Amino acid sequence: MDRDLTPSPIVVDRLTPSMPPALPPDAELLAALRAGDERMFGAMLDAWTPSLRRLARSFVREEPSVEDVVQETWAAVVTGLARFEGRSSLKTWVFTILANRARTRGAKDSRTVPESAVQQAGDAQLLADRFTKRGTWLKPPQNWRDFSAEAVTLSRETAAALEAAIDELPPRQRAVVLLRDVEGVGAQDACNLLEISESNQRVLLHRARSRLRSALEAHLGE
Amino acid sequence: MNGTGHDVISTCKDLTENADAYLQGELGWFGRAQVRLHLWMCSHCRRYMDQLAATIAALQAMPAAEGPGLAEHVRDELMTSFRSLRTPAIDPDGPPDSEPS
Repeated sequence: MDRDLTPSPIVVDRLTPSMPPALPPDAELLAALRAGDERMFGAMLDAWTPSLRRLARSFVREEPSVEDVVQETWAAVVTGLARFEGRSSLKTWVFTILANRARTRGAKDSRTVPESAVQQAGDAQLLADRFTKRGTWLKPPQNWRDFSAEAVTLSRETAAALEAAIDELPPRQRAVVLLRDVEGVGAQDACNLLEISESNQRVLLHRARSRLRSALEAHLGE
Repeated sequence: MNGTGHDVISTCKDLTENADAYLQGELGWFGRAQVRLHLWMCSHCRRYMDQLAATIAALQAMPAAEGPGLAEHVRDELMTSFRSLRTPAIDPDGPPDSEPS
């Protein structure tokens, strides 16, 4: 037989969606940006825009305002880059600009989202329902099907439940838990950024985490 | 250390209120001792503590936020203004701010 039966060389699938390149550590990133590395700047825009949007939603309610705040933030980053002194991480600095822009915006269209009395009461209620007057468990925590962090993050469904629960937090709690736990911003930086006291920060973080544990319990409890 | 250091932690409710401070190592020695003593005696609270720790770990391990990028024209404009910064070259070692703030 004349037909060539040798298999054609395997063609590497070039169509797999290319993941955006992970950003390098701060020093390297900053050096690249200051050297005018456009690719790096673009990568930063793409990598951080969703995080910025998510954080902006804790300050302003309307989606067009969220978009405005994110755009203004990036514009301020471009012009401010030369002045960035590296006292915090680059991302924290960008978050700080975002918080400032969002506050200005919120004051302008008075659509900021303050902690409502209902939400405050909700936190007290959350506990009151679970404990007796003597402070012992009325509704003890349920056993979880699986409660390792890996199980929570590896299961798409559970990760989605966690995301949804974060979205439902009162705005200030959401801002604190996003910054501290999800983005890994330090306590002091988070306080400065949100213009809240250390003790207020601690309370908000505590409430957010408690609520999120409850949310996961609803999802994983058996 | 912080305000919670000298609080009495005896009931389950007290424990849950101090659980994340404990996990973050923010309690003083007295607080930590009280928490450990309580956990030793109370399986409900042990479970609570494990679950809270898993919740925090899951938050810390959450992948970066996903979602659409910037609108094309916005991104283009930002790229243009980033590019134009190069013209009056930025001296990375220059004074941090010569502009009146």
